[in-house]
Amino acid sequence: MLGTIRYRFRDERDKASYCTTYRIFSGGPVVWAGPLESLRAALAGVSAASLYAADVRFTVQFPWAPPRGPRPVTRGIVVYYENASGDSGELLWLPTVAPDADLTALDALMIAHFVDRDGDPLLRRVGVREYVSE
Amino acid sequence: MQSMAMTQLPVCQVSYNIVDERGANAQVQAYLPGATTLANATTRAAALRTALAALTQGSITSQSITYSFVDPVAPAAGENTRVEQKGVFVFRGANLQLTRIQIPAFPLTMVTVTGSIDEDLPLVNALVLEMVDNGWTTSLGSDIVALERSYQIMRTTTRNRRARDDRPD
Repeated sequence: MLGTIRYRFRDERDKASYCTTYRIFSGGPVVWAGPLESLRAALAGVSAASLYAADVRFTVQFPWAPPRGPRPVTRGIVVYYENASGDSGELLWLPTVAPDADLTALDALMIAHFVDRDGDPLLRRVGVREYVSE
Repeated sequence: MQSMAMTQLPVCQVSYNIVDERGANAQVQAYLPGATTLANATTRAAALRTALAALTQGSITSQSITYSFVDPVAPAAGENTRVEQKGVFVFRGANLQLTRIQIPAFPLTMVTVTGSIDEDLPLVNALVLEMVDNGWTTSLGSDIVALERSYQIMRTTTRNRRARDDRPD
C-alpha cells in the first residue's frame, strides 16, 4: 500500500515545515528501523533544521455519494468510552449522527479493537451527548 | 546530525472525512494500538467505516491511517536556520513521472553561485543514492530511478514570515 511519509522539521524560530516522500509498504507493522531511518539520516545531513518527528499516512479516497440526510456536520453526538486504566477514557465525536442512533455495532468494534489516544483499551460506553458547534 | 531516537507513538490514528449536504466537512478520529499491522489496521478501519456509514447522515469521502514517530532528543536547529530556504530535488520515476522533495533549511554552503545544488558533495550524493536505490517512489507509487535536477529556492511567502531583524532595509 502506498504510504505518504512526512519528515517534520523546525528551524531556530520553531517555525515548522516538512518534506514529503512516498513508499510502498507491505501489510506488516510500520516500523522506523530500515528505510525510514535511512532516509532520515540522509535528510538530516542536508538540512540545518531540527528533524524532530515523522508520520506515515495511508489514505483512501472514496467515490462521492450523496449524503443520506439533512443533518449538518455541525450537529452530532459525542460518545464517551471508559478505558482500562480508569483515567480519562476516550471521546468519539460523530458529526451528523442523531442522538437516538443505535450504537451497538459501533460499540462492539470500539471495545474489541480500538484504544484511547494513550493506547489504553476501551472497556465500555459510558455516555452519549448531543452537540452543536458553530 | 546523528539521532537514533525516533520512537513510535503508542497509537496509530484512524480518521474519516465526512461531508454534509451543504458541502461542509468534518472529521472522525479513532485510535488503534501503534503496533497494529497495516493489514489489520486497514481491516479494522474498514469495519469502523461501515459502522459509521450506517449512522451518519453525511457521506464518508476519505479514510486515513497514520503512524506517528517522534524524536525526543532531536538535535536542535542550527543558528539562523530558515525552513523557507528549500533544497529541491526532482526525481524521475520508472513511469517517467516527476516527483520532487523539498528539504527545509537547506544550507547555502551546498548551493553553487548559479542556484543549483552541488551534487558532487558527499551528503548530497548520499541523499540522491538513498532516494534512487532504496525503494522510494513517486506519488503514484512508481520506483524512483534517477535524479532529474536540483536547485535551491526561497518560498515566496518567506518575506512576511521571516524574523523582523532578518528583513533587509
